Amino acid sequence: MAPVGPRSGDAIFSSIDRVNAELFTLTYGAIVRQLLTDLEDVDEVNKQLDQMGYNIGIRLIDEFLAKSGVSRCVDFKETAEMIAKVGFKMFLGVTASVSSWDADGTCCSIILEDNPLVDFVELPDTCQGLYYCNILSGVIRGALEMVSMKTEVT
Amino acid sequence: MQFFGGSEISPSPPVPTATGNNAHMMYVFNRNGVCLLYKEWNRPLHTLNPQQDHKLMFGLLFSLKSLTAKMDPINADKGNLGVPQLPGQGCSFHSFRTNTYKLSFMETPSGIKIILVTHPKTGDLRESLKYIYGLYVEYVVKNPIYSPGSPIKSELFNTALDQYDCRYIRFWSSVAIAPRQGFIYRRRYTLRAIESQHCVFHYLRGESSQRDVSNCPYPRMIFPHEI
Repeated sequence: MAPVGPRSGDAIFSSIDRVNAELFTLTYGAIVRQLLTDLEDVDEVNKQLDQMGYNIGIRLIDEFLAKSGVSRCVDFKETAEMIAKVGFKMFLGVTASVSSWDADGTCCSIILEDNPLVDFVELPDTCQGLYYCNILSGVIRGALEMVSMKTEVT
Repeated sequence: MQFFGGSEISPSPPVPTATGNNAHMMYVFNRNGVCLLYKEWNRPLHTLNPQQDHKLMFGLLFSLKSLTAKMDPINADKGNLGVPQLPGQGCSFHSFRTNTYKLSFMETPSGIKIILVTHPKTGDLRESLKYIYGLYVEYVVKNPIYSPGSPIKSELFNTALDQYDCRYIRFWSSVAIAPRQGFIYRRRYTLRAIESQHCVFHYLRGESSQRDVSNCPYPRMIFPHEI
């Protein structure tokens, strides 16, 4: 029996339950706001967001694998493409692009053209150095760790 | 001197006819070998205590995966023997069949292993295993109270599994694996085939004509006798 090929991000995104985008954005904004009030230090908040993302990532990977049915990626380039094209499309509904590969092929940038997390957001001057979307870094780091790939995401 | 004929030694269990549950047991392991779930619907014989049983199962899977990956005739890149393969890498076996049960296996790249032991005449269960993985994601992974790496205690998950089995796999009511007269324990389970992604290993073991249990019959040869 030939294995079913991996489904594209669009197909999966349209078949799973979705929440209102504004609700998601505002909830995330509220979380960051509360963290800033509780912790006051911008670096602490960044670390906390990364940790939250990590906890999400270690569970998210199973859902990603179950819904998309992809098999193990051969190399890091394919992994990055998979995250950008299938992963982000499946969970956030936006497609990212991969660029700025270094010579070894071990480092790259994933660019999100329109990021749903930052809609309506303006950072004040007191929050310089805050990585607002650090939760996404944590998610990617956690998910890749569960498939035996140790990465650093900033 | 008694001679044990080929097909009489360990008779195949009767083909299931009634509706209901065909699966005997199910195991779910994570990447560290922790048994997250062990579910039993129909298991008349218990030979080991649960911890030993889980360890044995995990060790068996590890060895079989290494074996099938190294003996893969298609894949050119094989690591050295003994080097553990990353989950999902290389050719992985997906089931093996003996004359009394069939064990189906699925491993995800994240290291979750799902094992289902069923009647030997069951077909390919890969789609079923994928569905069970989907159930795992829905009821276990998405549960905020569940901490990853600990045994699963979710009632919803158990209920969903029972319902899935009852609906899609038929019931095997009288499981008598009763030994026949003069039966030797060691020959109860005869391995028939190990199926992996790229090939199927068939196994036929010759029967000795001696009653002496201390002499182990040699495996005769390996050839495809049935698909």
